[in-house]
Amino acid sequence: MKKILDYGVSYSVLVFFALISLFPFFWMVSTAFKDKKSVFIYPPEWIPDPIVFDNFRNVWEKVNFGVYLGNTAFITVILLVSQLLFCSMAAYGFSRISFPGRDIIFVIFLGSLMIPQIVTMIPLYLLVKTLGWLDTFKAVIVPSMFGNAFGVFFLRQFFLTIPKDFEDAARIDGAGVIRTFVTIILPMASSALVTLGVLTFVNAWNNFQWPLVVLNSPDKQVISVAIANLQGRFTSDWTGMMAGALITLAPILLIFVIAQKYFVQSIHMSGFK
Amino acid sequence: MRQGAIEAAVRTVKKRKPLNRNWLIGYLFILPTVGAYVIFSLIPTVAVFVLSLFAWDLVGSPAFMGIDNYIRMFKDPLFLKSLKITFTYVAYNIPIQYLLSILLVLALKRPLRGVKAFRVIYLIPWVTTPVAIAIVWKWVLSPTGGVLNYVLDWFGVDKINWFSSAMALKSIVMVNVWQYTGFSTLIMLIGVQSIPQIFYESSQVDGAGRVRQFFHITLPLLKPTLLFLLVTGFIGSFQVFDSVYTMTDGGPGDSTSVYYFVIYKHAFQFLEMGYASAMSVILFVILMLVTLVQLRLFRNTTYDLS
Amino acid sequence: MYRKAVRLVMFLSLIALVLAGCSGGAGTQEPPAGKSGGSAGKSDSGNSGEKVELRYMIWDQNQEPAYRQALDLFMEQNPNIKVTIEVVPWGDYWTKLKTQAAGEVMPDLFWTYIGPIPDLAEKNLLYDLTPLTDQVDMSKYNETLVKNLQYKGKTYGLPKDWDALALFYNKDLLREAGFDDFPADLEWNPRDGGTFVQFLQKLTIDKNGKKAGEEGFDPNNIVQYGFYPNSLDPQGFSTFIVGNGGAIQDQDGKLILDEPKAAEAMKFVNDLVFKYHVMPRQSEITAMPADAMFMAQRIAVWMTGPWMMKPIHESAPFEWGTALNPKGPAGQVTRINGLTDSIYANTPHPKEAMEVAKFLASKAAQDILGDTGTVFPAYTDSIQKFVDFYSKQGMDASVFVEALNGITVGDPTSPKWDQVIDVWKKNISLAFDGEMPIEDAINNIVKDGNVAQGF
Repeated sequence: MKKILDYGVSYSVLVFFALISLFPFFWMVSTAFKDKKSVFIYPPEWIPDPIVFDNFRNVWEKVNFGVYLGNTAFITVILLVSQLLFCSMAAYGFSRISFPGRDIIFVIFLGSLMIPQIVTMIPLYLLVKTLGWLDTFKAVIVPSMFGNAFGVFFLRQFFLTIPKDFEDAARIDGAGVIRTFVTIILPMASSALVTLGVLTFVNAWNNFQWPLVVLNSPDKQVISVAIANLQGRFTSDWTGMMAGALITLAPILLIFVIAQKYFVQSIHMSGFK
Repeated sequence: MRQGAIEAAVRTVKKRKPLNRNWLIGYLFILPTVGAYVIFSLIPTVAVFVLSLFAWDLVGSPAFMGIDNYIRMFKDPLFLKSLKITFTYVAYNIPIQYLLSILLVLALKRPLRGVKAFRVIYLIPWVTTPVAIAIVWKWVLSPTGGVLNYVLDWFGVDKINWFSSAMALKSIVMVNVWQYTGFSTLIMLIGVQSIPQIFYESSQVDGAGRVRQFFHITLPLLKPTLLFLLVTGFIGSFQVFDSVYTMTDGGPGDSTSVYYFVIYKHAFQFLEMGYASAMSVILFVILMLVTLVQLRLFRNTTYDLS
Repeated sequence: MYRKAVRLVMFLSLIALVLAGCSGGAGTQEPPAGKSGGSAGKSDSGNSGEKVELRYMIWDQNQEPAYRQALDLFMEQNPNIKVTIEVVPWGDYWTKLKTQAAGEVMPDLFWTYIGPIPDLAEKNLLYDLTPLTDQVDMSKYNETLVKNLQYKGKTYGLPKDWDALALFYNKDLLREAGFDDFPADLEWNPRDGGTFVQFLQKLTIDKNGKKAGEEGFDPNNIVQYGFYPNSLDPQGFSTFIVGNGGAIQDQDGKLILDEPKAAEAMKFVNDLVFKYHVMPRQSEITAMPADAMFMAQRIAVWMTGPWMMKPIHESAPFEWGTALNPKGPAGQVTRINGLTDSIYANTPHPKEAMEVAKFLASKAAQDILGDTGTVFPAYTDSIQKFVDFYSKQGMDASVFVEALNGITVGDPTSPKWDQVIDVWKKNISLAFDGEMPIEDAINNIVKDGNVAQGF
């Protein structure tokens, strides 16, 4: 009996928060399928009447979606792979290998999170310009591809929770630092790596401010900027914008669904044998 | 017993002196990341620090000001006010968001059907298009005809003006908690699930109840995750900007002029890059101090299975 | 063992760098902007045989087709010049422009309007276009526009388009209130509001169906408002201030809002919210912007500009019309604004850029703007084309032209106008939500605004 009450309460809590979480998303979907004249009806209609599919086609043509999605995908994939690689390497170095100055370097490295990006943007822009990278994908990719403090910090903390005994056991078996990293630590951190992968993907895919500033050519822009262009100075194309936003959101949702399987962690005790 | 043999082996390993080539490997592992950090982050940061001693409108040559920017800053009522507003914001934001996350983690640990779906659903606010968030939340918080006031009316509470100078900051807190709770819940969940089941099992054999388990197993082993959440939470929360920019524009008056927003105004609206840099230096100092305190409190520990 | 480690790390870093290097060239299938220098064109200076590439930055995706059409025409006639349009979202346009200014890589041509010109000119970012005024028939442009696009005697842009404010009204709501047509010759005055306020009160309804001004009207539960100005920025008040015989600035740019006629007018607008109750307060508008409220039929009359004609036409689920602004004690005055193409002071190709600017303000390009219903062309002979475009669809844009040909005043501005706007917003947002008396707001704005401007 107590269990039913317990589960019932938990379930209600979960459902309540789920509905709250989806609220704006419902509005996005609803607006994307609306006829322009139905957008501003107040109080808002949740189910569009009539249901319209043209918005998706229109925005795809109006905005040259194919090119922007391609650019964004290209940037995102490179950033995803490289950031995961370098973040885990650095995290391992900061957590499991001891060398002089390690912790001081780590704290200074964390400092990158503490300075407002809106001001570092200008010196960084000048730097990128001097390197001749303006209006190229290099400017968007290279500064971020080698990892960031957030990802390194996250993985480092996770690595710290892995009991040292596993590594020590591997050490006895003759494995060096790198072998331990690849065969023991990485597999054990799979759920953390997947989580970081999702985070990296989302940030790269939704990247807006920096690409907007360093990329000039219309054919090089990323998708978030293209969507933002549908927002005018005085008024916006809401149905187009929401249709475009949903198209942009689709890959992210797909990644969520694929990744959520790996959010569950199972610690294998087989390393002991 | 197996345990004893391993303990013995561990002791022998520990006796050996650390090898120099471990140092080299360590440096190599962090080299790409830290190297890029130095070029693309540290150098611009140093530039900002230097710029704080100058006045620059982005176009002419910077003019040396010494510490004038700092003197002006400490005399500026808006500087102090925005610090107060931002600290208030963080004081609301972090506890509420993390308590909610803990609540959700506890609920998600039950073996209920559809738990996996909830985990994904709670991430949706984090990736919802900012424009959509602003529009819908503005409607929810609308003084007349908004959803929240409608619900309050149900309970007989007078309608509240969520965009008045008294309430606007709380509205911003609501929006941000809504947006990021799912993400911190996920991080916490990852941390909780990384605790090997064997600890719980063996303690159960020893007769420990749920509460004892929570305080002696869960909480201590969650420390690294909690440290991460607190450090990044404070740093991120203190730099709140987007929701202020899209929803209240710092107002009404300057009741939601959070620190980052004021920096943005000075940098790009008034073109006072030197002053904005000085404010950024102070921000850095505050965040670094708080982080160092947090790191100290949560000194690293690694765990043995014993 | 560690040699392997070193090799592994170096190998991985090499891969990363190679990928990054490849990415520099990728994404450019067509030649247009494969350069990585950021500034305009790699060709030699001025040599008419070489192809000159110009960057042109704008903020409105909706206008891009018309501009592309005009520029295609230009490029046909000038095969040695290539112009690339870069659309940047309005919310970030100025951030990007200023960042590029810092990097000394501003686009060759870019949109500006009356407001930002003094500041940009003071910073020597704008090319002096006064020579163009000798090459072009300036009588074909509205005088107010021409004057306001100058700063300290120099011209920084040829008038290219313009907008004025007029009243858009919801015909359905008017009919429900008993009005078959929009009343002619509405007048307002700071004392009792005049026929304008009386009219608006009949259009303001509370949740019990009572109208403003009636016995038992509940100002805390209004479901439909009579009126909203364009915005609570200075240009939103301009029509009323000047219509009362006052001014926002004196000829030196000093704020004079506290002078009687200006202060009266501002109090009048404030009264619309708190005395006559026909206008929503600030927090209502924060929750739901004016355009949404108008389209949702919560505002009956909205003072706004021709840029709303197409959106309202597409999205309004009701019949609507346009009318002239109400007359104030000093007459029928309209505030106008105009966009222009300014040229970067340090562009490597000033001659070519000026040709583009000249072309875009000329009849050929202006006709395109008008024919496509994109914006009101500034070139006098092309204006009618815009009106024709809309009258074919049953909409009347002539009110704006009538306003343009009457007494007009340009938007207020000054080199430090951004600081003034900041002070303005801070105080007005409080005064229009009932948290500060309007008199205090006016005095604060004048005091702090003038200090910010250096007076």
